[in-house]
Amino acid sequence: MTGAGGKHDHRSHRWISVALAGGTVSGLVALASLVGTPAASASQATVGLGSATSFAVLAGTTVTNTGPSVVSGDLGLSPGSAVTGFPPGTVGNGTIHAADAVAVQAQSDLTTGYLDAAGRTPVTTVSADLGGQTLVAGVYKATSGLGLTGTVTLDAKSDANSVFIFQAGSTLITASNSTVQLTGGAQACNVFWQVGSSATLGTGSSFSGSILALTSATVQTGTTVSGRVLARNGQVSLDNNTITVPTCTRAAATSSTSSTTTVAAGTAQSGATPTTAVTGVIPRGAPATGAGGTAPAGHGELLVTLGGLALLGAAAATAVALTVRRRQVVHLPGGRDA
Amino acid sequence: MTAPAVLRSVPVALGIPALGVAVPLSSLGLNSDGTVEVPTDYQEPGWFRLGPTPGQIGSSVILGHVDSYQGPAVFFKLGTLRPGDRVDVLLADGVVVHFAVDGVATYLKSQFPADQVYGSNGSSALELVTCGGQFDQRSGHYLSNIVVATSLVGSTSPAKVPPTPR
Repeated sequence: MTGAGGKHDHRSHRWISVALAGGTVSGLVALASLVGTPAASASQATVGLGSATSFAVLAGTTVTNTGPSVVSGDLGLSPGSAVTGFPPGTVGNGTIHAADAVAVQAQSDLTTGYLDAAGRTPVTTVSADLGGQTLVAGVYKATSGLGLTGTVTLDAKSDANSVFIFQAGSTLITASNSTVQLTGGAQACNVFWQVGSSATLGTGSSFSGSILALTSATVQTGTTVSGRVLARNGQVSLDNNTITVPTCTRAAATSSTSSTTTVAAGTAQSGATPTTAVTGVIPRGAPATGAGGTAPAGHGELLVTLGGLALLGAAAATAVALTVRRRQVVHLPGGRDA
Repeated sequence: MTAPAVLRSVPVALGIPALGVAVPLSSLGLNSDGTVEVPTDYQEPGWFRLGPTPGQIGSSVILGHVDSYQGPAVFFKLGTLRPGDRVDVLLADGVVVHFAVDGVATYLKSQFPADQVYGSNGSSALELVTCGGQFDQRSGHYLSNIVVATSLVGSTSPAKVPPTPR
């Protein structure tokens, strides 16, 4: 039951003596900018996307494009590696990551973000079609498909940290010429669409927010996305689109329980930070985190290595160094076996 | 828990002063059979990346080997930790998250409380997991897991003002 995984980040070596010696943290240089925005005291925290934050387009199997689409942000896929249509499509302010380590990690982080968004509560049940509605910050759930005909308005009510999370049990389908309208200071970076199967954005539409689709995502002709098109297992199809990773402005606190955005050296972070619990995947079974090299041999067994050296009793650390990975129990004439 | 939760950021290093442990962290996912991946490096623990990062509300889990085939590994002395001992985690954004040990428990693997270890009880917890108990020579596995439960006590931000995220 030993795993073959375990990603090692070589950047982390240089941090250790600086960060942990004597408990001081001066001299540290931030590796990456903070992800997400701190929530106002009563609303949902943003959905953290980890390294998927920089991706405008992310797929599992393939990325297929038609026409001069303009992607601003990273474009990637994993485990597939086929990207077609670039050129005539272009990727600016970003890099194409085809089945590389960055894409692998981005998919992993997308998974975490997807599970986070899917698990948020409390939810407000919405009708299958959002057209004509004005919604404030919150979590909106459709048990099966979610659709949009016409315009849905997302109103942040002057709180730029307002987060809007949509949970679609199956598909997300927007009609041609539909619009996701942001008002009251709402930001596309704070709008998330968790899609249980696949998302299809109709032609000539204006869409805002990050699509987190479990299967595939199709953006039809001429549609503009201020946000991200992230598909976990399937493909992303584009057609004469503009996809732009949203910038996010962290709003200054307005209530007494909210946090400030700058922190002084050596002081503890204060104020409101994401208050929603995160539970990810729960593995089955129990971890196999030991190989017995310090365990005493029991019940008079003899352990014989391939090198013919017998180890008895006490910790292997006191024995001659082993060159084999597995010990074998051998039946010796007249000896006891397990 | 009395300290506020911190923002999500991938952990990159772990410090346990009482054990003299200061090591980088890898990240772990799932094996194809649904069990948790374990580190490939006996001296480097791994953070379970399909869960919260240390400091988020929920239970963040770091797993490390107690020993290799040849001798002690990074979490060899984990079971000797006591309530109040400090555990520090450095995050990728430069924040150091501080935890204090609440308790050390040994569970038979056949009764491993996965929901309790990986699930959230509404507070910010960090669980350190390794193997322990009796070693079964025949199967080549320990019969138990040692779980050190810790809870968030505070965090320290880097000296520099963080850049505005995009």
